[in-house]
Amino acid sequence: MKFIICPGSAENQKFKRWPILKYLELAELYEINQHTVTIVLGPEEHYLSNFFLKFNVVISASFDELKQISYNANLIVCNDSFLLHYFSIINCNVLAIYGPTDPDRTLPPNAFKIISKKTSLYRPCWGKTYYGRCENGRCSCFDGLDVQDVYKKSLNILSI
Amino acid sequence: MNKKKDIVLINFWGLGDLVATLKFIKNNNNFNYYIISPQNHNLIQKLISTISINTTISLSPYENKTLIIMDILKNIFLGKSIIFTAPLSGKSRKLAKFLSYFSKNITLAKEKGNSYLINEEIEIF
Repeated sequence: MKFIICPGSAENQKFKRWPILKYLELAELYEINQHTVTIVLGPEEHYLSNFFLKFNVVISASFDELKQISYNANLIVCNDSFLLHYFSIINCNVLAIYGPTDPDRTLPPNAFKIISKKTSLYRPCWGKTYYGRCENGRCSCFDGLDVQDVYKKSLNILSI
Repeated sequence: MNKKKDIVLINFWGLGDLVATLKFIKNNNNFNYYIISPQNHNLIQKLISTISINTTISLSPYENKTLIIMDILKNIFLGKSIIFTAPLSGKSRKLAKFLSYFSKNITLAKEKGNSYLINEEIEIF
């Protein structure tokens, strides 16, 4: 299977990103299980490529290039970011990892979502005065969402 | 000859949020659209060109907030059909609500719910 991972989001809303080391672990898990992984990063996210040195990384792709990259991809895993919306509107299979934002508000109808099962008083903190810093200055909305959860969900979507 | 009605679509949110507006256009391609958005126009233009949309879309030349409001007022006084698409909450909703007092041709998307589904519910008059 061919997976695309988009670990970024707008620089001024980094708290919308599932932790980068978890994305790295997810990419490794796909590879160990004989899947192909491509990492897609936006123009302001090139520094994240340092985490994915052994992977095929595409940085600052144009819309046409994104379309080409996504061709034949079985699943694209991303945060609640522009790429979620872009890949969804061109009818790709997308799994969105939600933390501080609300999937009931922004999830494209043809996309899949995953959120932490851990109960939280704050999640989603979007629209609140403490958006992005819901637990004493730190956003805790991704807490409890592990690599295995996302991995299993992605295989489940693809019925593997 | 292109006899499609012209509709002005306004969205003040980010580029990702604008995709829900483009989805609305895809689903309602019997109209010509004029989009007003503060996002980078080159980027919007390129985005539109990679999504298969079967109608004419033009973009307001303005990205500056003051000029955008002037453009909206111009379209109000020209009697154009105007839709403020979802997401439409916070300050942008307040502004849209205020502007809607000046014209009966303005439609406001609902505030709460999924942007894509809210836009699907919009009826064009």
